[in-house]
Amino acid sequence: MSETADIVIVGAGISGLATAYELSQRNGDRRILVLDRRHAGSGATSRNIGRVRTSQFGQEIARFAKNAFAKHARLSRQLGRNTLFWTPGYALVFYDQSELEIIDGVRSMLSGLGQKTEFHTGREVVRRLPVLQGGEDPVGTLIRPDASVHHDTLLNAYKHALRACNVQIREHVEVTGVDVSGGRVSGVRTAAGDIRCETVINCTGGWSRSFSEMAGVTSPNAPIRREAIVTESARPYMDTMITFYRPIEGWFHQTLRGETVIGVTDPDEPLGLNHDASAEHLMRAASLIMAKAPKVGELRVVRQWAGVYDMTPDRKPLIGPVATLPGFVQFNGDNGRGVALAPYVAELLAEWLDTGRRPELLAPFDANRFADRPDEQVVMGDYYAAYKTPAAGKAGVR
Amino acid sequence: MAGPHEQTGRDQAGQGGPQTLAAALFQTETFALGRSFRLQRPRGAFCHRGWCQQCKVVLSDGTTALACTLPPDAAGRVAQLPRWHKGFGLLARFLPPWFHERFLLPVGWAQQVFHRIVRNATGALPISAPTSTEVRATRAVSRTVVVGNGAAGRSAAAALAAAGEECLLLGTHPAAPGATGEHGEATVLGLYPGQEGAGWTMLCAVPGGSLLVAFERLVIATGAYDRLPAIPGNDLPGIIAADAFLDLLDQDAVPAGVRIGLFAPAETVARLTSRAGARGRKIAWACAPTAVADRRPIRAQGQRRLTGVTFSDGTREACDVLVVAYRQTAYELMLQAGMTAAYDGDGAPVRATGEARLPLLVVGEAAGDGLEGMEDATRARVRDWLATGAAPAPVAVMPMPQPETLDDDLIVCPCEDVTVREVRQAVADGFDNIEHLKRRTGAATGPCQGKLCHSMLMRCLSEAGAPAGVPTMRPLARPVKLKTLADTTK
Repeated sequence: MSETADIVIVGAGISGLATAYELSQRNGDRRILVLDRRHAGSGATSRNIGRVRTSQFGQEIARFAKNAFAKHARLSRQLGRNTLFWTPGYALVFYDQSELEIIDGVRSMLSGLGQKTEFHTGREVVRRLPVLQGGEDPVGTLIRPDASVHHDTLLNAYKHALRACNVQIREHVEVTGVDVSGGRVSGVRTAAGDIRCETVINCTGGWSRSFSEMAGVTSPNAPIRREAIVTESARPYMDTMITFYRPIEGWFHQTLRGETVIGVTDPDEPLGLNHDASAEHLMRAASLIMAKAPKVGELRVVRQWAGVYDMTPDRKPLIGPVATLPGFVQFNGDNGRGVALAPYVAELLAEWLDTGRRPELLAPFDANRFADRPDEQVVMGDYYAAYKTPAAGKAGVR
Repeated sequence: MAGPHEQTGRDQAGQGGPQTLAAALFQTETFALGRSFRLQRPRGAFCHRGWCQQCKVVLSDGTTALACTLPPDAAGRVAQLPRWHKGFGLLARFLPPWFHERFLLPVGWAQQVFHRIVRNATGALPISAPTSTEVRATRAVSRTVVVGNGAAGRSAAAALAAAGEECLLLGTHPAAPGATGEHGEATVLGLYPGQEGAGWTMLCAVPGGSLLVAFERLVIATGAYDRLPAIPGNDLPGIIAADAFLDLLDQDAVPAGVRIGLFAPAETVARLTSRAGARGRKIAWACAPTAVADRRPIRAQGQRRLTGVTFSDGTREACDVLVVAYRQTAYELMLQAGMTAAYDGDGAPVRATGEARLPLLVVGEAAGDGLEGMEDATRARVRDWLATGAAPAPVAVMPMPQPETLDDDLIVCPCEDVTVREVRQAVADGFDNIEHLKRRTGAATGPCQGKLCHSMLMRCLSEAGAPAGVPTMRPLARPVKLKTLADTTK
């Protein structure tokens, strides 16, 4: 005898819980199950740093991020729990003149969307971001009043809101297969029994490609490891969150609790699921911070960890019903923007699933867009390489 | 088990006076050194060996450091903390760590102002001025690494060498004079698996920078440490580990006038008493419960420092120093190597169990070997391991007699000031898995890396009928300054 549900969501991270919430807000009569093979948020969600960034380089993402930001701003009220949304600001800092030209295009693209930016060059950069004193001389910075949320608090807020809904979250239940009959989804198999359902939403992030394959669905996404380190708490010494892309991509900021989180990417990082932190990353992150912001060098590192981004070839999310398998829905391809975009994606995805009409803002992220180019691969490398210079006229990729 | 609490690897020569700031201040009966992060409670050194992280002081140049790692002459450089912070400690008592989830102020600008006040009011310390020192990252390769250069580690390294196995001995004690293949004053911070089956890497903090060792097999001889008692007031300055007590005796840093209480198994009481007697120090009283019904401490009393202990039979004993001698094997590297943590019930310490992700042998105190016959026992273990791969599971050490029920005011996690009340509330609210509990309360996320709180958290979870586990054990095993990890010579 098997259990029945209207919708099964696989993956109890931010995408899965947000989708469950939005679907039940639209129609509370449906029985929704959220399954996770570990604890809720055990994937990318709790390995996050919770930046809600609107200064994106591609126009479609930037437009979407603007709306996603607004969603985050009203989310605390909606969920009845404070998600620790606050707006310390987000600064891209440049150390290479050539970057200023790329950023010129990004600025005009953002201003076309009604997104104001602050732009500083020369000495003004360090005056505006005093934490960089004593480090390498930056040539410019682009600052947006962007936000940060606490990823765990955000997840807990969704969990709290879901208690009042017809949604059940089941942790430590692994889905072992997707049943297909008559050319459409008919259920999932789990270690704890089979569940009949007509809709399965794949919210498994870094594991999503292999989960899709379980259902016979091919997708071009691939996970890649990203690492972070965190220091013990210190009294507030910086607000604006900082990121740089060249010569290597790195970022750091101080959280509300006073900890400093730091990360650096490795241009040679291979694709694949890997959740082990590395000594190399720790030492590279320390070297980068000592070079750019030596003031924080006295802070003690307490912990390091790794998580994965679910990357797509065009750096855009992979959202919506899969045409080749009715009942199978994708909500993946976060490309490292999961927490920032997921609440709004979930709202629009729920609308899409209920009305059958694809919301205009999700059109660029349609999961079926790779159907005619199935061999496309994720290629990593210089961050800018994935984005054509918006100054050249066409924003975004391709 | 005979022989814990003996400093076998430490260089005894040249002692006779306090060697650290914490010991020097202890000698003058200054037990309280700083204040805690959230509740602003007085804090002092428990371990005097750098792992408990409770003796943090701010120096006049703005830098922060552990008093037990500073030289004794640094006393003049210790800065006083502003008193007004104590007010926030009182306020924090009424606010659980997740107080923010209910709206204290409207979302928006008022909340931003509130964030600013709260951020500035924490007991966290300021960041200090940059200081430049040359830091070097060195590398080494050794198929087998022995961590811990005490008696067991040295015996294991000798046994490996005798078998013709390449081996590197690493540990926090100074290297033996003239020793080859030994790296002294090295603290292992993390074990890192290589990608796609490549070998492992170990990161160590060493004087002047860091050391990275590529290795394949590991022998852990890191022994055990004394546990924090599970009674309210357990964080009061004056409560110290037995290891710390012996170190302080050796440094003549135990003041003559203080009343010393012992909470320890009977055979340890005898040994600690005779060691104290040899230094002319008297033990005022000892509590050594042998049966479940025995009299045991249930509360430590004191405001700014310890003044006495209350027992389960309602009696009270006065004391200035409480020496606690219940052991916990140093399991952090075992868990980093992929083993899991088991909990054997009330008062039991955390025990590492299961398979490691690499060939791993535990020797010494954590394998159940006493100091007598340590060398032979270790040699036999190493020989067996080399021949058959046999690696016996680490032992369970004697449980610490605890109150029947944990008091609501007991501080489970002294790094983040999390009480039993908050843990129970979080579990009742559905955070009944260690990973959720840790994120909800902040317990086990502080700089001691869970050494003080894991077993108490496990007891709270098992009381609530939830699975008792510890959070994923990640590097670093001990906090280190960012600047010591960057190689400035490149």
